[in-house]
Amino acid sequence: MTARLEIRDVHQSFGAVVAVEALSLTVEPGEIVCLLGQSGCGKTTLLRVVAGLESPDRGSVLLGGRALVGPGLFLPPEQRGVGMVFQDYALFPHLTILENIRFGLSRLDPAKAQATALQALERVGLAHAANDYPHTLSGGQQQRVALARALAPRPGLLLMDEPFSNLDQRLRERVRGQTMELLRENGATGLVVTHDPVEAMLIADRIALMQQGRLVQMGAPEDLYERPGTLFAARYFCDLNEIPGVVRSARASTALGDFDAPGLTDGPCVVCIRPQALSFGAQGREAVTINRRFIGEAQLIACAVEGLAAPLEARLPPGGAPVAGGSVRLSVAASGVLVFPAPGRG
Amino acid sequence: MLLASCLLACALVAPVAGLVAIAAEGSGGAWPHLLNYVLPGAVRDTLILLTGVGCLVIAMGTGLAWLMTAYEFPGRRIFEWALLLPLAVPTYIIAYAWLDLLHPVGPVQDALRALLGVTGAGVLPVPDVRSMGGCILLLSFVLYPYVFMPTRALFLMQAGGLLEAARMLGAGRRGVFFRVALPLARPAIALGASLALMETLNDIGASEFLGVRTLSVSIYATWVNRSNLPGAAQIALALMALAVALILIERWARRRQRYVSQTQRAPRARPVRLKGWALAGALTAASLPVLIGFVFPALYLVAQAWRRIAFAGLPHDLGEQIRNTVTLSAFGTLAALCAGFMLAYAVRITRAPLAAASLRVGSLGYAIPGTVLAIGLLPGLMELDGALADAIDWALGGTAGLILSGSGAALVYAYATRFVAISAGGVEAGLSKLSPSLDCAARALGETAGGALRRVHLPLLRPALGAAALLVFVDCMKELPMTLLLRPLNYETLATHLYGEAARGTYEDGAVAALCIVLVGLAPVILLGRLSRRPSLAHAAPNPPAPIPSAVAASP
Repeated sequence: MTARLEIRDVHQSFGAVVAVEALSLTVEPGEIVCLLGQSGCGKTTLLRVVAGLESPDRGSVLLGGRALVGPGLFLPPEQRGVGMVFQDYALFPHLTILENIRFGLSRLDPAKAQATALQALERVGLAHAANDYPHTLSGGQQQRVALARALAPRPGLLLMDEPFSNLDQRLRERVRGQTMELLRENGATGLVVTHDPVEAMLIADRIALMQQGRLVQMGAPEDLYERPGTLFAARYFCDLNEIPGVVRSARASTALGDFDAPGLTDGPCVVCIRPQALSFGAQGREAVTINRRFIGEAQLIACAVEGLAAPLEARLPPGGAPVAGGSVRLSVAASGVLVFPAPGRG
Repeated sequence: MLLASCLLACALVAPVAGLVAIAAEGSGGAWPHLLNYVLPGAVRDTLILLTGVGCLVIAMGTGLAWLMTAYEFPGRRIFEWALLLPLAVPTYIIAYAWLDLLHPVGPVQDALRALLGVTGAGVLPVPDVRSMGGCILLLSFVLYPYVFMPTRALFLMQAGGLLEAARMLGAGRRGVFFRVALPLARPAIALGASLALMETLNDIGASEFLGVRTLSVSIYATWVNRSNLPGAAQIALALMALAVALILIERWARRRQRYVSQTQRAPRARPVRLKGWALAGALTAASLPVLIGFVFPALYLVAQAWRRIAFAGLPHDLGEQIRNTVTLSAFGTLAALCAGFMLAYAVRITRAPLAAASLRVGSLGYAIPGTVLAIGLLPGLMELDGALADAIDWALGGTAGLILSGSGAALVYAYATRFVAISAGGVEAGLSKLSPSLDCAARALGETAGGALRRVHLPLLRPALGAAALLVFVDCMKELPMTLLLRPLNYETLATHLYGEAARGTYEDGAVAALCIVLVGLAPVILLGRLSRRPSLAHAAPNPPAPIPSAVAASP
């Protein structure tokens, strides 16, 4: 039942607004890919194109080698064999939980459909609520029903649109874990839309980062985090200290010192330093601490460095805190430094 | 506040008690006659009429709402608005217009004869519009918007995401309609159909012109023609029972309505573009109701009014009728608005179950047919008038006559009773959009309860109050049965004048009055149409829409 999804050169615009532009990507069978990006970047539109809820201006979508949409072809959503979990779950309020799950099983004979639906409900641990109506369930339970309903017809591909965004923080982590477990058990191919980079890194085999309708970078979570291809990608995954610099012969010189800038042409650049790459010690640039915030597993310390307009933020393990207003020496771990050409330049 | 609200509710349902009082008097031996000859036929005709109109308005209203939601075709946005136009035509005016249009020597049959090349009236096999079938059809063509509006709003606001979910689960377009859209729309359909049927029960002009002897018509005839008030009250009780049955059926059909879906962001389900024959079919289906329910009758009225004015100038008593109509309606609106505000505001500030019950009971008047209300008002009114006359007699030493019935105060009271539901609903919806923390903030900043009302609630409710006033005013103006029965002697409003002309068979003389009513009736339709064209506003609204409160609450 799991299938390979291919999206080829899809364009979609609404009037003058281009939502998706020249986008191609592939999801391997059984793989879970996250479409990540800010709201309005076209990720939901792309999901709806795959679902058949939008018909693209151009491009094609193939599932398991079968064309869903292409030149002169548009398969309506009910014929695609694609499951979808909606952001608001879209449970039918006039049907019981069991009837909701049976909805997509109308091609099976009634006894079989009933058994399949019950089984799906048991797998999400809600068999006891079979005859309740959706509004009596909590948000987390509704999410599980929506998932069971989408998976019951055994779709070749499961689409999820911000499936956890309606849950509160603690519940979200638990439901997310259960959901991903169920997906892996089913071996389903999955395409999940989210705007939260941490969530994307938690659930995805690969992440497709989108910006203004285009695919910016695609790869495993570590790839995107460690080796972002653009300043945009780097900023999306991590709060960075950005300081201006100038590249000369593959070295970027800044007020904090010089850093390697392999492959960059000469000219102005932005040097990004991860907060956890900064540390205090006996050597390094002199700085003055401005304030300190304690967040449990770490502490955040802001400090001013002469020659830099904005204070730098350092993320240190808790304990041994320097006093505010104290003078410290700042050193930078090279592994936490990324250099990009200054925006507006090549 | 709570006490006042309770008293108000009692005053508003007093007519029902009055009705029972008169009916209990006994009709002086006429009861066997009524029971044997009048009641069975009237009940049967009323039931057939209700069934026919009910089926037709549900089919038309729901079908058109789905057509506007699931399909896209040229002119759809215009139709969406134009389909509300028949609301501007009261039942007695559409009957009046079509009766003359389809007359054996009227324009339609003339045209047909010319087309077919035959001569002589009555030779064409045109079915007579003066029949049960004709009455059902004509009433349905002006009452279907009551179903169309809430159903369309429901499809727009709730169904989008659910319809997409249904398709993702393998349901085709037909399946989506029958398995998801229709069951979801059931509460809206029930609400709309019950409103349409209440109008049907209330109707007196159309049924009478078209020769259908409904209960309302029988009440009027028994009272006015046979001067048998207790007999009329007894028939009115039967009518009242029907109205109550209607409310119960509606409640039953809306059971489990709590399941308002929590859809936050409802994208409009992608509509299908229609082409070829399907397009022609859709255009026909969408334009027929507008043509029959509004365009033809309105054109007819314009032509007739033009002819009348060209022939004899403006009717000399038109100015007086307009003045009478506006005066009565303005007082009625004021009374309904004050009462409705009181009932709804009491619920807001006291949060007492009793206040909520008062609101509900006080709003029942909307379901009580006009003839029933009018008869129920009479006994108390006569007592009060007598007492007042005696008092004035004693105090001033003159005869004052019947002050309440003579001044139209009775009619204003009746208007308020019947239409308070509209104003109360509007204020309630308006208040529900105001966060309770506004009240707290005003009080915490040192304002008294009265000050909070004056400085916070009233300014914020102004649009809701304005829209409610408009709706009530137009309803008062169009109102026929109560006005006929309770107006002061020789006091003609536009509606009663029209009724009189139609009863005499001098149709063209009533055309100017009818045109005035339709023109004023257009105002709320325009208001509703403007709101329906702003889906952004509708999406932002946290509550599911009922036709009247949402219109009232969302207007600028």
